[in-house]
Amino acid sequence: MPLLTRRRLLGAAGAALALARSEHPARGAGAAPANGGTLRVGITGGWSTLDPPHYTNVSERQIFYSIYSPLFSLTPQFTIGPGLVQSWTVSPDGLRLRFQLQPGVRFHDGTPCDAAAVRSNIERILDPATGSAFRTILSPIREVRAANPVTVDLALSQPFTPLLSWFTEGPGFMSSPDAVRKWGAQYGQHPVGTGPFTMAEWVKDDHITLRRFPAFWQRGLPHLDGVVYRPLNDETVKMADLRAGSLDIVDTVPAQQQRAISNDPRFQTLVLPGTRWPMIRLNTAAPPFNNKALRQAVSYAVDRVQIVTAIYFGQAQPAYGPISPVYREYYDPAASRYGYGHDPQKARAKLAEGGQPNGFSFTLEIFTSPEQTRLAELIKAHLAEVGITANIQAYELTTLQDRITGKRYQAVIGSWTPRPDIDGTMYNHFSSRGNVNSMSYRNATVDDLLERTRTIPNGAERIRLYRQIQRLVVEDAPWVFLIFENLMIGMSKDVHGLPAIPDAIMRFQSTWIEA
Amino acid sequence: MNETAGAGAPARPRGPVLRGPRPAAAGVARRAARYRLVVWGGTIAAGVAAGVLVGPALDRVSPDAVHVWAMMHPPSTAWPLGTDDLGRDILSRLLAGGRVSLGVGLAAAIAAAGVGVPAGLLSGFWRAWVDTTLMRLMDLLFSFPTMALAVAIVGVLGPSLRNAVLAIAVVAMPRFARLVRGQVLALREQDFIEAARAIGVPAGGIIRRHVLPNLLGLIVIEGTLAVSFGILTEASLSFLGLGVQPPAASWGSMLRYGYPFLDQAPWISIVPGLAIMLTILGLNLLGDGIRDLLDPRLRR
Repeated sequence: MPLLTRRRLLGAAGAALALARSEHPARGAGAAPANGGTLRVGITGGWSTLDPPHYTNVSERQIFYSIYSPLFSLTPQFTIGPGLVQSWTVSPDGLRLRFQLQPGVRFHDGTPCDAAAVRSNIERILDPATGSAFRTILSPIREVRAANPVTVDLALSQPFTPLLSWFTEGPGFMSSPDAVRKWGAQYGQHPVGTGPFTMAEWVKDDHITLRRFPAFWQRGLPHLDGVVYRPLNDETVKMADLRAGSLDIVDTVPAQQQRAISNDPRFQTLVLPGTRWPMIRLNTAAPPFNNKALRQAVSYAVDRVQIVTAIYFGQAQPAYGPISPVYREYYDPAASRYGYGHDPQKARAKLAEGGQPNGFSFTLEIFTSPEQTRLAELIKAHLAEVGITANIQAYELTTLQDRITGKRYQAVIGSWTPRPDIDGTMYNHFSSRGNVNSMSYRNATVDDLLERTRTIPNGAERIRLYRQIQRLVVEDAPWVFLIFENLMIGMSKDVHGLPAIPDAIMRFQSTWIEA
Repeated sequence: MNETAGAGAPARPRGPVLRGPRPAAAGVARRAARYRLVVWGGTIAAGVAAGVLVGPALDRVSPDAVHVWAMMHPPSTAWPLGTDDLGRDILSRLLAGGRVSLGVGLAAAIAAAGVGVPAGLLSGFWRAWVDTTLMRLMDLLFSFPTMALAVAIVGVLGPSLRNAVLAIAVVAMPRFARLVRGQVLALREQDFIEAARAIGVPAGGIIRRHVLPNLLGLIVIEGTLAVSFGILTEASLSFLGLGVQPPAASWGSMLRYGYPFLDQAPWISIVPGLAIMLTILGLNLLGDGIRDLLDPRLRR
């Protein structure tokens, strides 16, 4: 449930907010969007490829939404809406899907984005030679057929509820088959999509400049002449650039600066509650955390409320399970009752139950960022109160990633941002077949339930299953649940028309700058 | 590479130095000024050393104790230098962190000298293939930018204090070797060495009794500079998260983790920054002063 803060000026709501703060009148609040201008964007990360089937990080995903259009869109309510697919039907058994495409859509190179192009894109991911990480996700697709230029038929080998939501991101971005053929392995440096902007210039490690695509399929859009993305991994530098006016918008405002930016009349903010959740992953296959009671002891010893105050300056809420409020009806407030509150008494009892009444020590691995360091230092202090010693060891990102995928750790601080379907969070982490289950977590009941959630449609039954799963996962404690962080996008007051979608991606097709 | 190019301190020109007579008073003033540098530098360095050695014992708050209720408290009577972003006492952390910073600087300088000085002696005294082998090796180390090399070494070995010391020693070592080699090349041609050789003193004895004592001053000077280089490099490594492991502090790590709060609580990073600056200033004044005092051309 994204909140509107300050004057995020979308129609009447925005105008009303602007009136409420008349000391900083927003000119053009209710006015028609202006065309022109270049938006300067500061984001965390760096790009290695802009080929969607091969993307590796969120900063690449940020740019995809400017260069490409997904088959389906995400709504601010985190539900699925039309994209390149105008309308769709699913057969009652969930095995046959029919997509009606927007007619007349063209790629940046002028070739048509028709049913054949969609088929070619999906088949490219399914082809093992492509080497896409999405291949396993799309594996229930048995056949793709172009029934006519604007109709695509999919046949599945088994029902797969999360499929459509995957088409809102990586696998859903349509590349020009001509360009893919022409550039081969180099395509990632020369992306050609159907999105609102085309690639103009890419200076490695410095910036990517995009230019307006005049033949964009959404008539009258985009308003901007261009977008410049700059990777800025030092948040202090990024915020200084925003303040100095050399950036118009930044992807995240660090927690400690959120209040100052919200109170500064030169800026407006967009708050997305619960869109990122740091956690401690515990390796359940190796001592000491192959012992469930010790995992629970750590969970009880951590003071989440203090973490919210001290590390996130109040811009977060305590997490008592893996399912964030961004999943709306799937979020279960009951977790705060059956989950782990801060309870040193119970932590000591669990230590005794786990055969370590005097505590034990383990290595807590982190990425060398100030945020993770502060978090780890505070958690170390919490654990020390019940006699548990956490030795902090910091690694740079690629080394740490290797240690996580190689499962060569005892405990490691990680972080997660939501995938559009809850399956992308729950199955990937907590199924023994999940692709990011580095905890080696295995619970036969959870495995069964997770498989079942994939085959039944969204609704009361699926919600009930996920509540059951969450309860089992919380009991097993393969993660130390910490907090759900509120992500804040910060921008100049002159930037308008940015949709608030809880995947924390900035989409600029209808964004405009007030002159 | 020819005999002197690139050496840390080239051999002094020999032969008569042509200079006019100089008023005695001016010479005394000059020497006194140099002496003052040594006193100032020595006082600062000794003061810092005493502070970090004795300080932690006197301090009442544990440097790692978290006081969330007193987060980012500005300097006050209760918190003389303020508290950091987790409410830890900055004074305590400064004193404890100083032990780490100075310790790393000293350990790295000693290790660098321990390898670099013998390498330079061997190179300069025996020349030929020993010289070629050792000096090409040093050239290799020299050809990397120092920070990049240190980061690469810690990156490969894994971030820890011991590896940081090792990395700093490796990048500081070639300076010692070059400097000593250059001096030895000049010394070994001097008459007193020739004489020692003529009466049959073995090579080891010549190095020990005649060459090394003549280099000691120089090594001490280079040593003070290496300590300050070590402190700065540790600060840089810690700033990149490659030095001391949290929650332990060094001045560099305090600077790094205080930096995101520069606009809300500037004291968190300014205090360790000042400590680094002061210590480096003291050490460099000390080193410069000693060098000037020992320089025969200036000793009139």
